[in-house]
Amino acid sequence: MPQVVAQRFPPPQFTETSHLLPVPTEPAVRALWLDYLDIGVLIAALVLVSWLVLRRRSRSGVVGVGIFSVLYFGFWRKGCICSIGSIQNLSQALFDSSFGVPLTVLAFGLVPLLFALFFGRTFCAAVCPHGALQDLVLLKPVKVPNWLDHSLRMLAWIYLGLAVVFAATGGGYIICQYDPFVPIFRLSGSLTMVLFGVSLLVVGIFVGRPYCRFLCPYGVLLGVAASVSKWRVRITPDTCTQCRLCEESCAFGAINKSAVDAPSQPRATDKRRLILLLVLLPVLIAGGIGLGGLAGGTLAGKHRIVNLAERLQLEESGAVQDTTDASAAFRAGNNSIETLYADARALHHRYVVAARWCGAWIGLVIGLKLLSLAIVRRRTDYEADQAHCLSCARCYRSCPQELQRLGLPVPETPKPANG
Amino acid sequence: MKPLSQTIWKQGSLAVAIASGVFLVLMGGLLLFNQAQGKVAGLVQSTELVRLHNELRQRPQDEELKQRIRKLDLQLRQNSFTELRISHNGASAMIVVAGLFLASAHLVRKQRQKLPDPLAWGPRRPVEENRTRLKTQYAVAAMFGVAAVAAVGTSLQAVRLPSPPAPVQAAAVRFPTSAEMRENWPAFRGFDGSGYREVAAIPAAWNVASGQGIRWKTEVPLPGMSSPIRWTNALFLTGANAQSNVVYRFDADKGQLVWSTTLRNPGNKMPEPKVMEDTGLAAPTPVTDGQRIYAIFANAEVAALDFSGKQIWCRILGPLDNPYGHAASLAIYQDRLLVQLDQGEATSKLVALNTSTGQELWRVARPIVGSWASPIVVEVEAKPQLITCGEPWVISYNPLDGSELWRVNGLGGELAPSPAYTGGKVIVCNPGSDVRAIPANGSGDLSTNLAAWKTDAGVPAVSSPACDGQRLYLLTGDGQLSCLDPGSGQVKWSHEFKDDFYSSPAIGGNRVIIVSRKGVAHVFENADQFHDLGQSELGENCNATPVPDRQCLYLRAGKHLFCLEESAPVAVKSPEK
Repeated sequence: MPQVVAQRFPPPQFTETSHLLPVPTEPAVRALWLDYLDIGVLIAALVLVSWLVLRRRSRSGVVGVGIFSVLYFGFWRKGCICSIGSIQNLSQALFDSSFGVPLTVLAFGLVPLLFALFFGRTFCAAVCPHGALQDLVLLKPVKVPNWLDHSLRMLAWIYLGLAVVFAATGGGYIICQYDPFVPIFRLSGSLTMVLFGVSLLVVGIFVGRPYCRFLCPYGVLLGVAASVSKWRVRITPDTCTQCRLCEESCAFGAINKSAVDAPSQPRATDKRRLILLLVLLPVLIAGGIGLGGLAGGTLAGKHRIVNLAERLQLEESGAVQDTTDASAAFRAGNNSIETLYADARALHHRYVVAARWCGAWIGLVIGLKLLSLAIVRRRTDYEADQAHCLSCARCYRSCPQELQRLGLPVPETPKPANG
Repeated sequence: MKPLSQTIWKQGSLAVAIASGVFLVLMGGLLLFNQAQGKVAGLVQSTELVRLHNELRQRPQDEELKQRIRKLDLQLRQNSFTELRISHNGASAMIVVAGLFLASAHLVRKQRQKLPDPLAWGPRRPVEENRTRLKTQYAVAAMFGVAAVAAVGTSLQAVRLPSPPAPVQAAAVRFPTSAEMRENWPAFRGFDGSGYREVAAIPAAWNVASGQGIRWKTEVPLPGMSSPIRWTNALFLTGANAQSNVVYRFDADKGQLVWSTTLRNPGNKMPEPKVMEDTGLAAPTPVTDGQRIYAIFANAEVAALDFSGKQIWCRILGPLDNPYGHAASLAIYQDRLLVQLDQGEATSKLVALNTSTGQELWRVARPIVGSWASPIVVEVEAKPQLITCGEPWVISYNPLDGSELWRVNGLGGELAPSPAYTGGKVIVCNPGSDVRAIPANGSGDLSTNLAAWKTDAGVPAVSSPACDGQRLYLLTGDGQLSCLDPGSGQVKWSHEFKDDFYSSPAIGGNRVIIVSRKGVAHVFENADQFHDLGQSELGENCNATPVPDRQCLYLRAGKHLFCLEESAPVAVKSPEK
């Protein structure tokens, strides 16, 4: 298929003048050592942040690394290479054996996950430029109601499913296309995406890291890995005194309250609800599969081949009388329209199948989330939610035990109040 | 820190935060305003520039217009790059100031930070927390509902692709034999495009007024420059106007209009191509394989109909942009309908459609500026070749897969005469220059090879050559008829008719007929010397090529389809409707 290549601006029209058009040249390939440098910086930053969060318990250190990440991975490397986007490369490689993944992409995709398995989401804390940027703009955090927080977090799971569908089917990298912060790092981009990014930052002044919490598909994977991490953020360096001072210290709603009042035996209503949700789980999955099948046809339209085939079909049937750049280029080339239609039909089918899987995934995730909410855990202490904690180290200094450890004045603490 | 310096620090950071915040808002607003002006995209989106470019196409020599375009182009470029620079500098400044704002705002926040007061929050309420948990469950479940609504909503805009072609039943595939094709007249200028029928009865003369020599005469409802084709007792014709493309079947014996079918493409749209009056909307001649009739019109609507008039398939092969209007007739080889669409160097192409389904089997781009000539399918050394002409190439393709067999450079001008094939040579007309014979058994680019012969005698500009293997007839637009030896290119004789001609000569047995644009037919002997046999008038203009048949001659004139025979009753028969 011929590529439709257009100069950013039309070249001068009159070749009879002495003006010579510069010959387009391909930019040189980036030196390999710079790629290795990126990987080295990533690993060094992850080690440093993990140490700062888990050993030094230093918020200022985390902020310092965050500023570095924004400058290096953000403004210097223009937001690319990016761990969030690497999901797509890895997905495409999984479903397309001819697609190769560069070492840098592989490292940026897997190393933060590996660190999350051992140290929690220290990547989110300060290494990810997207997260670090949002962390820096958080000035006056407001608490998002629990019901809203939990339900909005589902968006990230859905986004992850869609991103994998599009990447696996060759339809494009939607995470990159709709990345809100890369246009800011590059000082260039479509007005819509710039406005989206700026809006997220403005919202982020009050709502802690809206992109990380509610949209980031990589955060979902990191959360899963972090939930079984060996070492984790502990709010108190000693024993929790149930003082509740840390209760509102997390700007991201990632502190689980103690549940000392939980009944020793599950109540009958809770049992019934649990059984109902267990029954509902396969229904949600089946519903997701059905809905995925419905949406698959539309998602397929985002693929350039399917889109072109649909356009040509409209032109062939006379439903439209003009042509697009793509359809004109196709017609000018040595291309078979029936081959295109056949390719488009195959892709369409692939999208429908992938969308069904995505629907099943969404049904499963929401079903499991409902189940997890139905289970009352018997916590004795205030704990960081392992999956949602972004390891920002904000909560440490809300704990009087921590202040005592640091030799700082300890405020008067109220008696444990559990209702 | 001393209280005074503490106050200064506190007030200072607040002032910096406010000042930088105001700057950010103002600069952001300015950049947005700048963007809204559209100056950055002005160069690529300037309607004025597009308008001037279009004007330049009409007046390519207008120096003043060129100067205006240059001036506007330069101005737009300058604006565009200036605004880009402003945007970039503004955004850079915003990033720096945003850093300052955040640093000072964090300082202010830190100074004003208060310790949490759990006592003020009151005691925890397990019942309320339990209720919140339930509410959260409902909210999460609602997300599934949102996703469901989104999925159903998007499904309304699902992609609609053409259905895969139905498998063709083996029994339905039967290709007519060469003998059957020769016995009939299945395409423009006959089976192989030679304009020749071995056994035929071309009447020497007739009289429209008295009806002598006219077996029947039937009105054709819609106009068209296309010629009739015949298969057994069915005559097919096309006609069109701005609203309809129509295929007609006439009874070849009695002249009745058996059926007329208006094509219906899937989108039920009727693109309106720009055509010249001389070309019209139905210039291409249809083709048949004895099972179906295939027709194409100026708007690229191409269709297959069965012999009962039922449309089998119909499609539009994309918008055409032909300066005179599409005129190339269809060709057929086995189950391949061959469509030559020469419109311009970037868009000329040759397409093969499956005759049963209309499904595209192959497509090749053609390096052709444009042409109005029709392709022919011939057998060369027992292998099929699809011969095409267009400026500047004669190209031969394998009709099975579209692969190119050979090509010869050198055609120029606006090419309307179709090629002919005889004795292993392809005869092509190069209007205004020469007629040449190209050996058809080569491969690759044969441009440097010498033609078998070349002559500048009587080179046609519109009508196509006719050849019976012994004699090659060439007819120029202003009436010079030349008879050549197809083997050597030697002119046997020539004769000048004081008339204008578009239609091609037709050879039937030992007679040849040519018809002028005014509708005057000349019949002469198919011999090595010119021997005039008769001249008759149709009373209507004529651009179509006559169809000689075993016992008569079919001829499409401006408004009527005629069946002419050597001896006929005096009274004109009006066919029963």
